Amino acid sequence: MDNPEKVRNALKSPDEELRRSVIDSLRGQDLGDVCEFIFTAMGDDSWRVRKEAVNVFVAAGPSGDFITALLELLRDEDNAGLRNSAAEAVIMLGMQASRQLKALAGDTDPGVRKFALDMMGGIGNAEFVPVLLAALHDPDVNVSAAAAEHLGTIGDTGAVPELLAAIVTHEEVFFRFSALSALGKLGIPAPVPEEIKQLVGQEIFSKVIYDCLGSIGDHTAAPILLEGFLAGRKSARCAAVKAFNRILQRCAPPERRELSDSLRRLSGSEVVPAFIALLDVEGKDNALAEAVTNLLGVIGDARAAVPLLAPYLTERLSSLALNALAAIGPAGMDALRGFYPHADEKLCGAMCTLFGELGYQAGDGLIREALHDPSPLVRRAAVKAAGQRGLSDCIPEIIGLLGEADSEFRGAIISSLQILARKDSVPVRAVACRLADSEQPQHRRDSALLFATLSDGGYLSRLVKDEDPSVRQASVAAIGKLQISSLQGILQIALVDETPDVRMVAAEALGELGNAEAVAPLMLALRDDDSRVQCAALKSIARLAPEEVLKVVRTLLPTARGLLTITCLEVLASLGNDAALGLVETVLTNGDEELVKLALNILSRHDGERIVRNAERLLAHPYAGIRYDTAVALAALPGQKTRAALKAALKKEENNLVRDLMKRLVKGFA
Amino acid sequence: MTLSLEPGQPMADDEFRNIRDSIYSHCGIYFDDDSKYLLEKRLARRLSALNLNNYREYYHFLKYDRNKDQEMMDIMDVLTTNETYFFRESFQLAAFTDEIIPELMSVKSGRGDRTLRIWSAGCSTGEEPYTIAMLLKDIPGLRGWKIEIIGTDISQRVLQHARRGVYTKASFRVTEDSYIKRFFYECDGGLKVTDDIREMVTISHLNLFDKTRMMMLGKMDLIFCRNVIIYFDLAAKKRVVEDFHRSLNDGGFLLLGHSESLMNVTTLFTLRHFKNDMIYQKPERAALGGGP
Repeated sequence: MDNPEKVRNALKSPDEELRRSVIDSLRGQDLGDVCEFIFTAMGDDSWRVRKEAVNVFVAAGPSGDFITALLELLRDEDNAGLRNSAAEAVIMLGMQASRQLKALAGDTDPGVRKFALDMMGGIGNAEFVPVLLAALHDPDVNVSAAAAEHLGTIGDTGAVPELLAAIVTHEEVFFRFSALSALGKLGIPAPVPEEIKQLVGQEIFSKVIYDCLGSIGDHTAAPILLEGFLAGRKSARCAAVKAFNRILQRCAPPERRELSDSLRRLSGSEVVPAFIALLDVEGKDNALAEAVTNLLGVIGDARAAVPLLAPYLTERLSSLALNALAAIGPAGMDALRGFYPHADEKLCGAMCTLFGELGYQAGDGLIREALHDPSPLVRRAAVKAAGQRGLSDCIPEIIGLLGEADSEFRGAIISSLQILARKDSVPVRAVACRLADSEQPQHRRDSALLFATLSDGGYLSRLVKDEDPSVRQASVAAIGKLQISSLQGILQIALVDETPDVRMVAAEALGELGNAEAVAPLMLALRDDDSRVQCAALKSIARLAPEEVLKVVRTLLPTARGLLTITCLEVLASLGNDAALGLVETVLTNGDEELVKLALNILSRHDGERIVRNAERLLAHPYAGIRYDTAVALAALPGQKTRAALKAALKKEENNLVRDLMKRLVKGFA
Repeated sequence: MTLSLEPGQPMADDEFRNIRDSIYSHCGIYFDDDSKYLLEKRLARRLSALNLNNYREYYHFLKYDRNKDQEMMDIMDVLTTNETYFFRESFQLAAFTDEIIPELMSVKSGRGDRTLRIWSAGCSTGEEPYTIAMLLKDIPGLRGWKIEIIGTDISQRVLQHARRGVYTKASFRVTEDSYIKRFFYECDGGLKVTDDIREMVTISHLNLFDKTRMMMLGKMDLIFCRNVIIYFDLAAKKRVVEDFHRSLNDGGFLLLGHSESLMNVTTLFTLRHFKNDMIYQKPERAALGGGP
């Protein structure tokens, strides 16, 4: 530094950019000479100058004395910017500052002690856990609450017993809140001390306790949560319901039976309407809607059947609601049947679908009537349900609907006829013949689907020559599925169809036929200019000639890209032998990160040693996702070598997400 | 701004050469210098459809655009003339039914092989492969044989027509009534080939310059390629005819148009003198003294 006075003056300049650039110019200089200026800049009015100062300080690799001096800045009560900059610098220094931080945790000033704990939480190293545990008993509630909070952040599950104990002994509301939240984050299911459960009695704690129980409680928490279903505050009721559901999901089968029994005892009680009132599929709380839907099924009260139609019609909750309705059983379906005359078309359609899906025999009459409903939506659902119920007497009515149907409706009709053909093929064959002669390509495509169900190779061989590619495609696919080997020649010619979709399906179908003679044309199809055709051909070759496919992949892999490489990798993974995995290993150098990730995934399942061999390069990969996956894969492998590789990579890692993961993994090794 | 192309947009000589060479390298169809007007006329609509200002831009489109392959397909529809009809060149068809098929039947059944694979290359709207099917239908000795007739063409537009199998008067200029009665029925827009004939024929897309796809069709007993290689220059003819040779079984036949010959193209085939016509044949391997 040429002129300290000039720097000092520049730092007083009103020009923010000048102050920032002066600090930047100090980068790389002896910290002893410039520390004064950097510390000054850390307290600058401008956040840009402060950030520059923090970066310059950290980049200088400060020794112990400088870190001690830095921590002294935390005592400045007048300049919050300075304190925050100092804290930021300490967090960036990480474990280099651990000794000084630990010392600071015993400072006489509670504000400084809290800052020290906050920085420990920011660094997130398990080495701080003993200090934080000790600080749970700090006389200052802000400090003890911060200690609890950061124990949750660091995620050391060993802290659970002491946190539980501290909540019992520490009566400060603020502390208990922080500690209960921390327990929620740690999420290790275990019996929860009675003293804590009793906190539910204090209304202020009820929600946070339920949240906490949902996170860490086991089945023993059930009684308290059941009581929570009728809690005075809605937020507490919701928390109790969600917590119960979480516990139910994670506990072992015997305990789950026990919890389910306790829920079933609620059937017929006044709890059920209160429960139903919490069901809000359009609300923001997805977890609540899921929990209520699921638990209503477990309770099995038929009164829930109609309200469960709402989640059934909500895509996200639909399968959960279906399970719930299935669990409620015929009584629920009876309730729906009673409701049917009062429902709108959307709900009527949903009920028809449910009657079909759940095999509700008493609903057959209603399904038959619904085939004549004025609403196409209801008729469509009824058609589908009639198929599922196997109502072959409805075939004429269903066929009668074909004329007026739109594409979606027609799809439902054809699906139904496909099922019903197994019961009565004659009328279905008649309609298939009629459709095959239609001028409309979509009708001819439908006929291909029906002939496929009827296993009619003769008609399919005619439709495979249709002028419309969608008809050819459907017929080719059907020939493959039905394994009509006499039509192999037709499939081979379909490999040169002008429509890539037909070629792709032909390549798949040839694999399904299982005749090794198809390998030669499939080899030629590997040169197709459409990658989906190439992929289908490769998969079929793998089916027909597994002994040949390694050689094929070896030839393809060096020039393959995208989808084809993915298929090559899938084939190699299915082979899983040493030679195949050797080829997978070559993909680790590929420029496409998705391919590298897939190769990593395969190797981690089959031969992790190959990842260890490439660890150094992979952990320095420019794509953070690869570094992340490599770290996970390495952590799953035994041995000091993997640990050393992770530790070395952690020092260089700049991505927060990857660094956090690496920290956790290295800690796991320890 | 949408540019409208004035009719008669001129094609410069270098543009003509560039476009012509692109088409040639795609499919072997060669336009000599006298064809400049034809190319200019037929491609004018493509310029208009693509909103291009001139043929230089069109050439760049064919060369660099990501849709260039599709465009090349599309102009095949525009550039290839597809005029054909049922039972065309009857003297050659007589040689086919009366002499070649009986010979093939005799040779193949002697080997215990009762299959027949016939390829109609450049089949246009399908009259030729359906003609072949109708003729074979009338040969009683072929009953019980597995017959495959494959029609291919480079133009996607004509393939749709061929698969549909509906024809108007122009396709029947030399067709006997008895054939029309037996193998066609009336439908909207014309006469449709009956299902039993359509079942014998598979229509597919093929660029004769695409060797891989050609190989995928498998071995043939007989190839009709009439009035197709007239569009090719000598090098392209050589290439395609040699690929035909590879596609034929030993002893298989290649039937070209009446004005076409393999003189100066290849010596791979022998010319057989039949009663009704002269036909090229791939020699039997034994006759060539080849190994197994």
